[in-house]
Amino acid sequence: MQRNRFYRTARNFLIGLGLAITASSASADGFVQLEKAAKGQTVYFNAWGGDAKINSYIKWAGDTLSDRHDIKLVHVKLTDTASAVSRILAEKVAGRLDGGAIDLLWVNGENFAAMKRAGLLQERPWVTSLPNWQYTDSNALPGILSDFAEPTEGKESPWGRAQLVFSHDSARLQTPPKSARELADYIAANPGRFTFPQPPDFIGMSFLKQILIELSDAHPALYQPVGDASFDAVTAPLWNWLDAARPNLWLAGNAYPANYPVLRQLLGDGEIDIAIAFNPADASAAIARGELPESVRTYIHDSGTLANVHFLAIPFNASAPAAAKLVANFMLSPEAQVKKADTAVWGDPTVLSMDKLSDAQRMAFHKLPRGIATLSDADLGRTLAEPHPSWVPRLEAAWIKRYASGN
Amino acid sequence: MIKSSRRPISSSTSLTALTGLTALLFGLPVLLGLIGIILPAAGYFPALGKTGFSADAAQQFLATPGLIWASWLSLKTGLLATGLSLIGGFIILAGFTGSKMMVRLRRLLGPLIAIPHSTIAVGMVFLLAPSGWLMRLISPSLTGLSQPPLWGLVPDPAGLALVLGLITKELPFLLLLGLSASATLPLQRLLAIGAGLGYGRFASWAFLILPLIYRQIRLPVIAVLVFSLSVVDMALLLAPSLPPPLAILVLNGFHDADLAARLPASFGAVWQIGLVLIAVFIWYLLEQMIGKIVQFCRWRGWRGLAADHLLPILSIIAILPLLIGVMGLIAALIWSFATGWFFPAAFPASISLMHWQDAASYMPLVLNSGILAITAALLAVGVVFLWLYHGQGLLQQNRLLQAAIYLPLLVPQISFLFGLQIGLSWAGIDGSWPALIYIHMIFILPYMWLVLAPAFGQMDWRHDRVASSLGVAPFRRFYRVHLPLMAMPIGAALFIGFAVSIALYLPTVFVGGGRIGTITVEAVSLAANGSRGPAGVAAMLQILIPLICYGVIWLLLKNRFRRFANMQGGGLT
Repeated sequence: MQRNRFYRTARNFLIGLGLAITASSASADGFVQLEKAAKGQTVYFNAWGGDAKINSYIKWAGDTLSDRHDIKLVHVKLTDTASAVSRILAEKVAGRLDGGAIDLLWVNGENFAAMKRAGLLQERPWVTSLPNWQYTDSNALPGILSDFAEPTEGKESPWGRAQLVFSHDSARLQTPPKSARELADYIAANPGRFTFPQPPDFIGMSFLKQILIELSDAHPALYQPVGDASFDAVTAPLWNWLDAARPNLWLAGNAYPANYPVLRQLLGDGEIDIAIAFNPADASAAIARGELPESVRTYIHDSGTLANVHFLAIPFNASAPAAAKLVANFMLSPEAQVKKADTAVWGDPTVLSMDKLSDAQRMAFHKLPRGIATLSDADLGRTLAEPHPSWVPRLEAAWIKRYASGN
Repeated sequence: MIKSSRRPISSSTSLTALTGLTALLFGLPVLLGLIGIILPAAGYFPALGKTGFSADAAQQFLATPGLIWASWLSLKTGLLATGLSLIGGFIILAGFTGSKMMVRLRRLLGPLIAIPHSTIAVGMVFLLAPSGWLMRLISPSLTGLSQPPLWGLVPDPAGLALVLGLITKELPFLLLLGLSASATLPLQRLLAIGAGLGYGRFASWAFLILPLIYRQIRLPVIAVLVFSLSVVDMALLLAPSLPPPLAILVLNGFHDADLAARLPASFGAVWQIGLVLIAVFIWYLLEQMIGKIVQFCRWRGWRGLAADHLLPILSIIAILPLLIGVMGLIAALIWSFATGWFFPAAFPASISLMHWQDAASYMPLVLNSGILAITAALLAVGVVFLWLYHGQGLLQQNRLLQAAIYLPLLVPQISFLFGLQIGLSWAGIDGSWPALIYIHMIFILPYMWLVLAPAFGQMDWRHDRVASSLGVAPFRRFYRVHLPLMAMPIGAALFIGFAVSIALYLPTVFVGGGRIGTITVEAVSLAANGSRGPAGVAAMLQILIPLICYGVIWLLLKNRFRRFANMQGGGLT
């Protein structure tokens, strides 16, 4: 034990010395130094691993980084990002200030807020000094600086945009319901043909927020930290909506799919009529892979749907922070963003600003095929802002209390 | 008689001490893990500034919505799955022993045991869902349905799908153990005695043979009970989720972003142990009751000739879960090649290699699984032999040591892995290969001990004495005489070891810390995320290693050690 402590102290001292040297020269040509420091390092990238097409995109990024920068990117496939946050927290508690198990984390919203609160992120802002930050425009897309209304403070690098979209099989259902109230009528008239991922799943929670915003006409309290009085008053319409819908949900509301890929599979299997995804191109990509019928189309609600940005963050105790920054920079490059926006690959919209790109780079984005079921940018135009992140755990607990306790 | 003539190859106190030490080392992680659970359950968690004891964690956990339903679900599915697997295994033993059918079934057992739990679950979901393969095969021709019905067998709120899934896995396992145990019994003589007294085949088995077999496999039966009560990977796919079984409720607490959620979750882990104790007690009562019934029937002189007519039908019913397992696997295989397979088509619209193109990216995971399984199994065999030669007396006399070996199987995984993870993280070795191999080894070892210890006890030591009198040195005797004599049981032990290691889910997730991935962890994640094609590919790759190992061991035994086969029972084939 004693020896171990000595070893750690010695190592911390040496690392500190190394950091001091890198920091002093960082101002000069920081990025070149970063590249040198990152060479040969392994980056453990913890990212939700539930979608095969996202996984293969990350694999492509790993291969490219390995060729160009001699960095090994290991995708640790999470089923729930919260478990990674909990792991970092446990490491902090155990006093592991460096050599942590996670180097880079795909995160946003409530999990980012939790990490920021607990001091689990890199102390110093690093995002705006990434070379590829120049291609973003925070005036055009303020979401890259504020994650669910939580200022990012340069501690997470934008990776992609998301918007809630609904998909339906036009061969079975010609005119889908385009508001919370129409959806309620549809569910009542078609028992067993609608469901949503079981909260606390991310998409399941997003669906609850969407319905809540619509029913409360985007109540201003939703954009403030949640309070006891406002919670009960504001959420009452949501619970009424759910109570009425429940007996007519898929399997009579006795079971819910675990997440949106399972939900999508149910649409493909014809067990339900409407699916939800947080990616406008998800349905097109699934059609291309033969997981959904060709007749599937997407739509959004008339009042607009939730939209947000997702990010990459580096934990305070990452083993390879230099390499992790290099990975984040690569993920922000026009090259990686074009590839990601391609429906055949992932179909995740870019966080870059078209005005800041060169003509050739812009062309690459414009040339991307739209995908048979993907809405146009104009159709996607109506968006709703995310409520304050403090609402999520409260909604989660209330939903579980009401519906998850068995009969 | 044989016992008295047994001599250790060499004896030294330091080796004997080493034996005791290794046995302790196997119980230690569980004990440490338990401490790491019990302290936070009692409210002590210095990391969060909680340095006093309190009942807060307990109160919070007891307020979990649906706790009683979750506990009842676990208890019910665990007891049902274990009871039905055991009954099914015994019926097959009684019905088919000595017949050609048994030879065929036996060939199926190895591969069935090699299939990880999660793979079976994947196959079953696709088979039995409202839009599942069974429904597609008969729609719309028989049902007239062009869209799936509103009901299905999976998921069901009662948890019966989970019971069926568990039976599919545990029945072959108990059957294999039963076969190994029956190989040590004078079956023909016992059956002849039964027949001579006018008992039917069913009654002879029930009164004379099965009690003897049960006595030998009682411990693994309890291990199956504990496992079924706290299973995670299979429950994620097959169990209801409102509320889920207790183990998943507890796991969700450990994975919460809020660290404070770990305290009530720790109490939940202790609650899980309580549930296991209740189940074991109920099991004990059932044992007593059935014992009394058997005794009563014997006393009344019930010959049970009528039951013999029922035996074939019962045996066929008992085989059904195995067929469901096989059919689920076939479905997974088809999915791995399918594109555009929509209800109510009985088969995919087109076949492609699209999903298999990703197979190369899974190879590192397959390799990890293989390295882990082979290293852990070989090391475990080494440790078992150390114990057999230098610590049999020690282990037999000291019940605590014995319990230490079986501890990893008798304590629910969810109840000590989190505590163990804290310990490993504190020592700075979580997510490292040695730690993971070590943990896999402690899970494999009890099974190896179960297979190897009785076989060693039956080894014919006269061969050793002949060799000894010819002047063969101890180590050479071990190598040239003992190993060939034990070849069959060693093969069986290695194979079970590989299969158990490949299938380990929760220990790999907790100790591997995401840094060391295995194909099983990947397959569970893919399946839980509804990607049927990739999950099908992962499932096929998952079976690959155990099947290759099975093939290699089988060939090796067949070609190299066949001539020793008749000198020792209890082999693999």
